[in-house]
Amino acid sequence: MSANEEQLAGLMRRARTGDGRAYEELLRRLIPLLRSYFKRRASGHETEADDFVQDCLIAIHQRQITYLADRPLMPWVYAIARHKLIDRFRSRKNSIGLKHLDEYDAAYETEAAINARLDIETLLETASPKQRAAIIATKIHGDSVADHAADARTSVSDIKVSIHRGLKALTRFARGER
Amino acid sequence: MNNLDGLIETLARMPPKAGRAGIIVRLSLGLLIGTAGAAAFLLVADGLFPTGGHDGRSGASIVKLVYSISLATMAAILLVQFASPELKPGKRHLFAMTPVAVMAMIAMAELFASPPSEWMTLMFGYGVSDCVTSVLVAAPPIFAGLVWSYRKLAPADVQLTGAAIGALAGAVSAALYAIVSGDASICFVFIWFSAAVVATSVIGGLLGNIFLRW
Repeated sequence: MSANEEQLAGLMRRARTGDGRAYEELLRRLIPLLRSYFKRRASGHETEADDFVQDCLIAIHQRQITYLADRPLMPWVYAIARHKLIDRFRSRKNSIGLKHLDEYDAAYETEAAINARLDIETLLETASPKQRAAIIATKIHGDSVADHAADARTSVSDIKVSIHRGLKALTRFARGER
Repeated sequence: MNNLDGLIETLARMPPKAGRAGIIVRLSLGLLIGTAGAAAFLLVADGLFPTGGHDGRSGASIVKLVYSISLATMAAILLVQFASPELKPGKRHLFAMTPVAVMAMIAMAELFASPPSEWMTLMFGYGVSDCVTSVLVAAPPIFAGLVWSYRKLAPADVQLTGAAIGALAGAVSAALYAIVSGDASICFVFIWFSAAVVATSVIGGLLGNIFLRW
């Protein structure tokens, strides 16, 4: 399930009024985001993803007074996730290169970067799965059109058309057109 | 039902309630409890071992108090900011050194306005060991109170936060000592109050690694 910043912050605001259901929904929506956060940074340790998510959810719950309602929620969530990740691998830092992880994280984790990523995810939902895959592979991951065409077992021209149509759809959506 | 489902159902029964003032309320509570403990200790200790000397300089006690409270205020501002996991301490936090810089200038002015024969008295003549010992001995209860406050907070840098807690504990302890002790030169206050607060900050930084991990 994909979730954007506004929805998640709204759930947190409702949770703070004592709405247990909103709180439950918020925590459930955070699970895939936290899992993905962990897997991107700790490849080779995927089996620990659920333990990591559990640690993060408990920390979010226990230390939620540090979230200020007038600030975006996800940078705060990712700051907690970052701390728990570093703490988890502190004793093993030589084996996974914590310094490198820190640098990667610092570049990734700015508020603007998180908001931009969430915006992109929201935008990409408006494209078809085929167009979305083509745009992510070529425009975000930097693969060549030919490589992606080979991976997708289709022609280069088909991928080019998908990218072109997908980008047009995203542009229309971003401009508020339908 | 897997572990995460069970955890979420448990947590959802206790939705959060704290708002914007949560951090400040919690820190104030910890500071208040710790300060009460330190004050009680100093009152008892002062009865047993009278602290400080009196040289009749007008205004020096006020300077002591103002300097300690200024240091405490700066450390408290840092601690409110360090409570958030998003905040990465940086050079901008050096603003907290403002009272030290101002006090250094005043102390230099006092020193150079006095004949060199009085310099040693100005720097060391008002009970160095009483001052430093009292501040160091009264600081732990305040430190403990603030560490308790931070049990619900989320510092990104536990060592630096520990140092700021140490600074606040030392500065409040110095303010309490300023109340019960006698007058002293501005030079003395600058050197030894600062040294005591630096000492509590260093100890706080070391303890932060142990007590503030989360």
